[in-house]
Amino acid sequence: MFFEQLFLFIAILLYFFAIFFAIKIKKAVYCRYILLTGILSQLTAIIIRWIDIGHPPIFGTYEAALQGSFFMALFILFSYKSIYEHFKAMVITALPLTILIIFYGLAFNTERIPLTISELNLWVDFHALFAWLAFGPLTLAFCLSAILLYKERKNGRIKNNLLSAILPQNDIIDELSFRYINFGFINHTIMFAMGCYYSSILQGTWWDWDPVESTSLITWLCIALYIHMRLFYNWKEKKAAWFMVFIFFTILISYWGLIYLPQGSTFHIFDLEYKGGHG
Amino acid sequence: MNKESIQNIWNFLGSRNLSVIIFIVSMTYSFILFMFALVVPTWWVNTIAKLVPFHILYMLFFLNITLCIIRWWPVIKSQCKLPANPQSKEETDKFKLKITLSAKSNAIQKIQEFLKTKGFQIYISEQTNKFLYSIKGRFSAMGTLLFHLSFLFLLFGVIINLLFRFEGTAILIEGQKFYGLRNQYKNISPSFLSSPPKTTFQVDKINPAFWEGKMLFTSLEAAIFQDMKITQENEIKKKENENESTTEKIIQETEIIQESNQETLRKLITLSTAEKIDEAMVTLTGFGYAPEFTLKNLNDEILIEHYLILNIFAPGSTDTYSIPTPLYKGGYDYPYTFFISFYADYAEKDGKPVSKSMDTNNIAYGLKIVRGSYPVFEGILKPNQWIEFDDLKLSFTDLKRWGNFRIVRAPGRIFIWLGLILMIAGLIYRLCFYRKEILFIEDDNGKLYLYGKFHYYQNLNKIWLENLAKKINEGLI
Repeated sequence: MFFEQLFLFIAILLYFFAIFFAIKIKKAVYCRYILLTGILSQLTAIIIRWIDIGHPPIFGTYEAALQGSFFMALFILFSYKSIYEHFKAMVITALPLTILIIFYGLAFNTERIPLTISELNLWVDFHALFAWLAFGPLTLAFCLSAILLYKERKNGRIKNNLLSAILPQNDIIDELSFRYINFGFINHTIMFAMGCYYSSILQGTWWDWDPVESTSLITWLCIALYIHMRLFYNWKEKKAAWFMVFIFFTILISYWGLIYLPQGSTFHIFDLEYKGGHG
Repeated sequence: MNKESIQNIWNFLGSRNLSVIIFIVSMTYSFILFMFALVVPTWWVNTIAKLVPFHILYMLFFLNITLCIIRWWPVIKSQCKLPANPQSKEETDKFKLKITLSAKSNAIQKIQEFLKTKGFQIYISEQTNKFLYSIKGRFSAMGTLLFHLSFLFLLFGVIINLLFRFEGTAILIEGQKFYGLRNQYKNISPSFLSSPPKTTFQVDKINPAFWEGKMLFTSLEAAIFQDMKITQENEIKKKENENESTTEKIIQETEIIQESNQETLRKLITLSTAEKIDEAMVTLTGFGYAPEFTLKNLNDEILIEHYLILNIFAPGSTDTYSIPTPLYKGGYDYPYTFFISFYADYAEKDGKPVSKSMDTNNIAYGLKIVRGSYPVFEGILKPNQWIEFDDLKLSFTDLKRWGNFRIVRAPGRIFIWLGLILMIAGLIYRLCFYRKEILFIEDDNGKLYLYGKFHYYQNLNKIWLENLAKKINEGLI
């Protein structure tokens, strides 16, 4: 537990450094190595927890935050390899969100809790894995859309040298966002398929209109609509970015908001207690 | 209605406009169901989802998808074709990206090798050596078709299930055989054309495990024997001929299979893993305790002896039992009600019985016997301990566990599964392996042109193409 928290703390610290380097140092490579070290540190924390609790840490808000933030950081790191030069923009916009997610998770119970029977299945593990693999790119798509809207708001007159240096052109941001959305959509669909199959084992039915299923379906429909609007109705840049903001709102509800639902309204397992005792 | 109006309706039903409308309505419906799910039980929400407006939406959705597939099939087919004459002006005009290269003409051979390593298929003019056409993800448009077709598979699976699906739950105690007979089910929800599946098994052991003895299951599994085929037919006939009591709480017959070869066909089923047994998938969804109830007269003659299926889990909860009419023997009348509670790990706290844990370390029964409305006994009873009341003796001589087994036969599941796989495959193929075409042409003056055509991400691919051009110009390729 101590080492888990220690490595997580180091990861948070390194993420802060990465943001600082992205802002202050011109060369992105330093920022990249710091981010990579942070990710490795977080991965160590995850492995320590995995060994400690005896199962992949994917249950409860704290563990969800660990996974969500890890995959986000990983996708930010991958953006370095891209020739589209959006790595720094991702570090500055998405990495603070990553840190925020970790802090949010830390507000919940971090103690070891055994799995209930319904969670003891590989399908659940992969279901959760693909959920976070969808969350990462979709959040990055949101960050890019937010950048685009910010630029649009400033009407291309961003005087700040830093921002003008690191932000790609609008059409590039727009397409990068679309690419992340597509990747997120695929993973979201795989997550859905695995969840449906496991539900058929657990509940005897493939679909149950559970609140989590409903909100995830809304997100899925929104993304599908986004793709249609983009390809066939030429919704690009500003329109598409606003739509992505709306999609992110639905993502927030389906990934993070359901612990605030009335107890017992979903069979999905979420934390129901804050450390501070709030419901 | 004239022909034109019919055509317009037809076009609208297969249009993208309708798709967008369906998306928005689906989102609204999902949101309504989400709101309902917060305040009413799931079965209620499922009932709402089966109301007429939802059915109209489902019908429109599948009609729209089917018509879209029919309508856009020629387009998809054309998108999979190779250009007959890529260097013609008509074809090159279709390439939106065009870069003039400063490299020498012999670059084409090098480029060919480079593109091959990137997974492009190369088509090169053998005679003139003046152009090179390369393509990647030629059939990616088929991904769109696969994705949309997958919904039809899902629909087919759902329809098959609507017609032939069978779901039932049976309460079985350790040692009990299940023959798949209708009267062995506690609840059934058959579809229009379904009958109980041929499924036979015998429950061996039901094992729950709790975390630190607390009310948190970490495991619940049932070991079952599957091989009952040899005696199956005779047993079924025997069962059908018997005039059995249908009371839910009594299991009169418990047999344990003794043959050693049965061990090889022992299977474990749990709450989170369904096991295929003959025609159905069987899952264990819950468990409880079944104490053996033995009633004797004072001459030690057994009057009643059987296992009771009681809801006495979690420890301390109470269930009642009254001796049913078919068990009246020799003119006796038993006007008793038995209030039974169960303590797995019995202890006393402030003079009251409690269970220290969920584990069966120290079993005890809380028993209250009422004749009419007059209490004749109240106290704690240990296993095999006898108590006397009126002219009778009672004891709980054994304890077994009962399991709640869900038996499902869903012939549509294979189509649903196939639909989901097609959906994912279609998406991956369409979005990750989208069509990219690169064309190099050398004109009569020896000048090289690089063309690019991409299904997605024109601007991102423009950068990629420019980088490629840069490398070619610098002789890096």
